[in-house]
Amino acid sequence: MKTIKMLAIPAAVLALAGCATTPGPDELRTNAIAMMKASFKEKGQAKLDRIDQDDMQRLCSEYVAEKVMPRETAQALERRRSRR
Amino acid sequence: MRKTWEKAARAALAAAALAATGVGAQQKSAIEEIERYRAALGDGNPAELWEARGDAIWKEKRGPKNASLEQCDLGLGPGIVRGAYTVLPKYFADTNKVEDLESRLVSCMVMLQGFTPEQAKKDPYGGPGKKVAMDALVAFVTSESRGLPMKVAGTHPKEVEAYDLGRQIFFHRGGPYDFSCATCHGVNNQRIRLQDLPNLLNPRDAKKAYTSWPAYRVSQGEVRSFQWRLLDCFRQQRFPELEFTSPASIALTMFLAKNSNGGTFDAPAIKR
Ligand code: HEC
Repeated sequence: MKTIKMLAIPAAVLALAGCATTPGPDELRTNAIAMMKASFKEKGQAKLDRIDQDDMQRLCSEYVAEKVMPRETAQALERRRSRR
Repeated sequence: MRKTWEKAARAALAAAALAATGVGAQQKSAIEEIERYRAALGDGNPAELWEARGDAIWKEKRGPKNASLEQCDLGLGPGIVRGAYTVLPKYFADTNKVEDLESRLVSCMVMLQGFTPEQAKKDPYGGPGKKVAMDALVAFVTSESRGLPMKVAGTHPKEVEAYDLGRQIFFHRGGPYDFSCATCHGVNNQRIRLQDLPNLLNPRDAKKAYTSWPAYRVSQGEVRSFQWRLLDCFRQQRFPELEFTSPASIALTMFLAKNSNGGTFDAPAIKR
């Protein structure tokens, strides 16, 4: 019992610390866009709105490397695209 | 080192030979390019001129405080240049920021020499008839890490944050062509106009690419810093203009530099 408690406390602390330091995908994306908007200057036709994304770009930027897009999400995107 | 030049030269000669199958002006410029290559190889890497100039500027008393950069802390302690580039970007407590080499040089010019940040950032890149201190300092400092393994820590919370944001930016698709860095640099064996595009997500390519910048560009007659490399790739991506030492440029550098850990630093290099 005692050992379980001793293990449980640091685990809970770690879990909390994890929440505090690792932002979720949405927060990371929001922060990255804010950072980009502060890091470029407009040049000719190339305005800052080139950093903005539509849903398709957002999802295709999120499901990269080892992260595979769920089938339903992909199908929904394809359906929406073909309706246009 | 010799080997790398030879390989670069052979690739350039092959490319130039292909280009030379055209006629007139094209042929002439291809021949000129071959000539410039031969000259460059015969005399060694012209980046050495930038390195020597940077060494002198590093020691020169400049700015309102009439001080040199010799006490600048590039990450291994004040005044230590040897190996410093292998630990950058890094978190610095005195500015409370993660800084790459170029932004750290700006901070040292401000803190030690008394320049304003605007003055320190005024001439980030050289061009025809214009040699700038920044390119020379970058060439000098990086040359002092040649032959050493990359070892970017990336463990301070701000460094972790920069890495994660840099990764996010690497995959961020946007602009009129819907490009991200990964579109051109996330696939093996991709080429564009005869140029091999390194897959920066593959550890081998990532190490080779990162450790070969800055570089003397024969086609431009300039030493180009890593900040310039990113500026030019964002241009190819049709994004707006990346600001020198901007937070996004540093985050992206953190992502690429840390992924090159273990690779042997071998720059300033010489490139097409
Ligand atoms: C449209 C395609 C394209 C995109 C998008 C692109 N690049 Fe590049 N990149 C290139 C080409 C072409 C080269 C080689 C250029 C040269 O030698 O002049 C290159 C070279 C590089 C190199 C140097 C490789 C070496 O071995 O010398 C790095 C590093 C790099 N890119 C990083 C990036 C980053 C980071 C991004 C995202 C901001 C990016 N690139 C976006 C086309 C692209």
